[in-house]
Amino acid sequence: MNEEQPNQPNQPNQPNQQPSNDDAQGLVQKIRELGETNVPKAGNSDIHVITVIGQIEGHMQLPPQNKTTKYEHIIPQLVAIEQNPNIKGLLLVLNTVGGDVEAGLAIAEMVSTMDKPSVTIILGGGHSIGVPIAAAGNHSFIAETATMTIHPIRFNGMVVGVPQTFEYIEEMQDRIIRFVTSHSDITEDEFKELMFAKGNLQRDIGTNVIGKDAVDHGLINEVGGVGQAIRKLNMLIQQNEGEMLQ
Amino acid sequence: MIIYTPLPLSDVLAEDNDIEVKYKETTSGTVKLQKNEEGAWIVDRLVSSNPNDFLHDDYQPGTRWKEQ
Repeated sequence: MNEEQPNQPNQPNQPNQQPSNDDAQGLVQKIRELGETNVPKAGNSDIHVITVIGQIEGHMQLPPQNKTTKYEHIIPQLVAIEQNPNIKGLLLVLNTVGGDVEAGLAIAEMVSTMDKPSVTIILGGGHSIGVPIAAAGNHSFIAETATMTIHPIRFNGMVVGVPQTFEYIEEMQDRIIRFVTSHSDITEDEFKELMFAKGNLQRDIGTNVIGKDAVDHGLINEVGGVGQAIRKLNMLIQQNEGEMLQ
Repeated sequence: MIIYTPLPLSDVLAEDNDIEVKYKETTSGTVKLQKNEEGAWIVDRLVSSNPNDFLHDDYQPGTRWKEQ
């Protein structure tokens, strides 16, 4: 040990010196670590990306076999993006199977009320509560092969009053329909038609719309990938900056 | 709570495994760690909106977590 480090003033065989040696080692380690963290930060991006994957998790934690996107992770990030002057726009990448209605609507409302430009892109799937989130951006894209499942809300659990529960579910459904129709080009009647269609889904009523179909229905603005989405976002950022100058 | 998903709710809510998971706050986002069979914490996912954070070696999924 001594032969290996002949110039070290604090040798491990001196017990009273050991703590300071460890401290120095820790410092060197930290400097090295910090040096590393600086490398990827060299070119700071003015676009921030949030990925929404798996289940959207709100009031209740789901069992760990679910991949989840947590409300408490997303909301502070959205606030940070909105108030940080170095961040100019938001790209929201969706590959979600839905989840908590309230958490999903909260994220959708946050995105739609941001002053900074936002572009959403569905890759793979943007099902159920992913639909309002996709509609929330200033501009939305869907990959050619990506799908969106639109179906009615289901409920499991104890029902105390049948008419009251029915009305509650109906109201939850209306919140989703209202958000989607006011943030995309689809009409209420057409969206409801997709939602309650029979024979399209194997074990549910509803519709599975794929890529171009979603654009034809007016749910999504364009078929496209990441390249187009970033190009569109940069365009929106330039427009936004132009408006701010005026 | 109403879960709006095309997946069967019995699959979503099934409690059939005991994966140990913890979240760590770092200077570049939140890291989700998962315990492997040997009891080591492995990086599973990074939660950050800054795309540059994902280039950091320590936060790559599959790497062993080093206490900071």
